[in-house]
Amino acid sequence: MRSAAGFGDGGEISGVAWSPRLPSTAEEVLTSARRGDEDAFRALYRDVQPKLLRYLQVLVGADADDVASDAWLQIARDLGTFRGDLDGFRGWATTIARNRALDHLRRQQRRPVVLGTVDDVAEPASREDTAQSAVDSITTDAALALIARLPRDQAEAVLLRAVVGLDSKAAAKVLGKRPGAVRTAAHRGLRTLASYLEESPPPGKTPQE
Amino acid sequence: MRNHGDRNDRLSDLLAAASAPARDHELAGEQAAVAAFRAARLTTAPQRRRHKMLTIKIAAAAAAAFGGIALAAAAGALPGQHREDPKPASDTTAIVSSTKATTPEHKPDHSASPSPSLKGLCQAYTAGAGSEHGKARENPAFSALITAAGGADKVPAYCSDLLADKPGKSGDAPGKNDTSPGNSGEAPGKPGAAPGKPTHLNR
Repeated sequence: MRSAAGFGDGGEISGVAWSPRLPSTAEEVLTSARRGDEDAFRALYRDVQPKLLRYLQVLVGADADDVASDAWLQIARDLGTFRGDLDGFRGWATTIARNRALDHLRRQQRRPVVLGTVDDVAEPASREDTAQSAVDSITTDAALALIARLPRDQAEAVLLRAVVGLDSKAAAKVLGKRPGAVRTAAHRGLRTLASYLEESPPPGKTPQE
Repeated sequence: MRNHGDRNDRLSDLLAAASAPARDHELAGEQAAVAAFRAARLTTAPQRRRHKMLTIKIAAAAAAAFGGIALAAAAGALPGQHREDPKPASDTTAIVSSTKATTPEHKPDHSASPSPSLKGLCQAYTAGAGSEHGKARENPAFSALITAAGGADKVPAYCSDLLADKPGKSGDAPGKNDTSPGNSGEAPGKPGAAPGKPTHLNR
């Protein structure tokens, strides 16, 4: 089943593209932002914020906006002390966001959202749209809702790789795990997602019973 | 049952949807983030200056100690400020007597080392003048200054003369009462401590 499904040893799956990377000129943007350039900071925000928000959406559900805001306060404050390239910045920012999310969850004294909460922040029209749409137009929120059904370690591994765009090593750093563990979790996550998709046609429909 | 190619396509579509380009509402916090960025830029500069200022004060106090002032003994009373007799006059007497053990007289023009240190003390004293002047005066660190000026009431005039030689620093002194060298280690160290604990990353 595994090989037939096209998963590689690295948790990769044939034909599945991970998030693309910014061109190398992005490093200049990072350097400028570190020196205080607001436009450069804006560019970083626009690159990283959607990724962080989607990751946070799965971790804390409807509170993702608030947690993301907290994270950006800290990112803005500490950017001058950050050292590294753009990939490093993404990992650094993701670590901050994750820590804020875990703080938030501790405060809330509840478990991470597993199902349905993502719908709370979805655009009103999206569900109807997806219900009548074809395979190729599953919405972002529906996709995140499906990922949110995974066990958290798998969901995080898939999100950090596919949405945030980190490689296994960087994702492992964010999660405080070994790269091999992240690869395994991502692999299992993808396999589970595939089975979700099989059990819940039509595609794009939110996977509620 | 679908074939595997279909299954992979659907999985690809799902991941593509999850990482689709940003939607407008996802960037709604941009202005707030930029404002935070701007504020962070504005606050870090004065913090650094203040840090520098405190360093000067520490250096000044240290120089004063080596200049023959019994600051080490007095420093023991710094943190609690539980001195029995906080009057400047008594401080002066105590310091003068101990000073005499090592150097006969303490004047700014007497040796090389007290002069810059007294300037530093003057800067610190002037900085504290705006807020809690009396408290600053009680601080044993200023005993050397009071001694050099010839009395607590003569310190302002003495300092204005001394700082007139080399103006510039006194103007940007913060108005806080951070003149005690005993406190100086705390405040500047804090900004570096990130609550988010990304410390292990590139820091």
